[in-house]
Amino acid sequence: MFATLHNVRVVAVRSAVPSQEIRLDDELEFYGGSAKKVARLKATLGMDRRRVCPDGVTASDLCAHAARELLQAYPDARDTVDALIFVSQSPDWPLPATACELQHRLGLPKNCAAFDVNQGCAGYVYGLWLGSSLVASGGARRVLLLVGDAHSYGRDVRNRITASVFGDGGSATLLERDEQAEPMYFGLGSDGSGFETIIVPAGQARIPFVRDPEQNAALVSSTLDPGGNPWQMCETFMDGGGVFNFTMDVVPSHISDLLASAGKTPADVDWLLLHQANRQIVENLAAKSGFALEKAPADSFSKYGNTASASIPVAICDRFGGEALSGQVLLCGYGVGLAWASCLCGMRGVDCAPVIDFEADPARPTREERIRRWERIFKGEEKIHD
Amino acid sequence: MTRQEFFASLQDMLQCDQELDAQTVLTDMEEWDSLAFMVLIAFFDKNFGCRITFDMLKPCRTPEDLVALSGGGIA
Repeated sequence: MFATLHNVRVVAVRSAVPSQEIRLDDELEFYGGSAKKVARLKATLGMDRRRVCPDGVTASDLCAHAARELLQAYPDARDTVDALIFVSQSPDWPLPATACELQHRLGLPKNCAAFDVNQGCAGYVYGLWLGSSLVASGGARRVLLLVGDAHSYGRDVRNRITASVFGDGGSATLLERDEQAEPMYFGLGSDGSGFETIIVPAGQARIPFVRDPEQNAALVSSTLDPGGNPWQMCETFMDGGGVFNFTMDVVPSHISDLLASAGKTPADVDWLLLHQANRQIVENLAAKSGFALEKAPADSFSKYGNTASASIPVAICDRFGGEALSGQVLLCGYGVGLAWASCLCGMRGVDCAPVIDFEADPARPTREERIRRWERIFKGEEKIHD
Repeated sequence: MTRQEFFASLQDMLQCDQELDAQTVLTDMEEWDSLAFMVLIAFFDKNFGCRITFDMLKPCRTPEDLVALSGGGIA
């Protein structure tokens, strides 16, 4: 679908990544010690470094940190944030919505609507569309859009299809009404026939954990693929070839259709900010869509990895942090779902700060401490937060 | 594009030291992997306007097999 929204301004964007960095150069052991293979991955895909959360730090922590930084710069906005949207596929719990707890953590008013949206690589633009729709319709004066993912918990670092590519990141974006704002052209799509291309097969209702621990063993054991990568049912499975085919077949024509719906051409666009799947894909998509590569930054993938839903705001802050983002900007996310979404908008001075390094609180509870706490709650020895 | 030009480009794409000819056995080379497939798919798309897939590349054994996928783009 294609739609045009009016009177909405993207005020500011902040992004946060964990300070803990992993370098591909330090992972030669997973490539049989082959420096040549690592060099090919660097040259071809742009793989180099990525950020991963330490134990006990989640996507919501990264997003909350970005949001605090943002609200500090816009203190008047806090009381008029009518909706908080948390877009993520790594929420803190199956329920409640992580957004509800974020409302409390960020000290937002209680008359703020808060809800989660389950979208990944296309999630930033899905969230932008949803938040902008609320503002444009008068459904909310201001929207705080928190978008991020941190899947590295539990991930087997020996899996070179996923662990080596994905990084953790979070973001906060403030949207508000502005009669002077330029129109926002949106295009969104989905193709559920490819739902298994990127999927966590188990751990929720379709293949749940059950009461008998023996029956759960298969969910947490590893199976090796022919290349020696271990896969687990509660971790992300990805068919890399399928993802690549999808990007080639769907995304360029989608971008062309969006441009046509807005009466524009690639020459009218100053920046093409694509989901940072990897550098190869970003450059393919830019070229195939008729854009000069200089307009489509891909550096942030090499610095931070593919941060899934956070990759577009991370790329924005990486490229424009400390200055303002202005001009005709085309954002496009694509991936898990399969889902894709893009937004073309004349931006005027979107306030972007450089990507923020998130330092975890050394006093945060460990996994074990959280488990013990819940055991005490069950026994009536401790109260829940109320 | 001539065969010789393509074989030289293929060597660049695979980032291998070995010179390639029509009958080099790609499947014996460690560089013949999904990374190579991705680059080749983009190369075929850009140079020949020809959409090939991972599944089409999997049965290929030699550069000559790739020539057959180019839709006449490699003379």
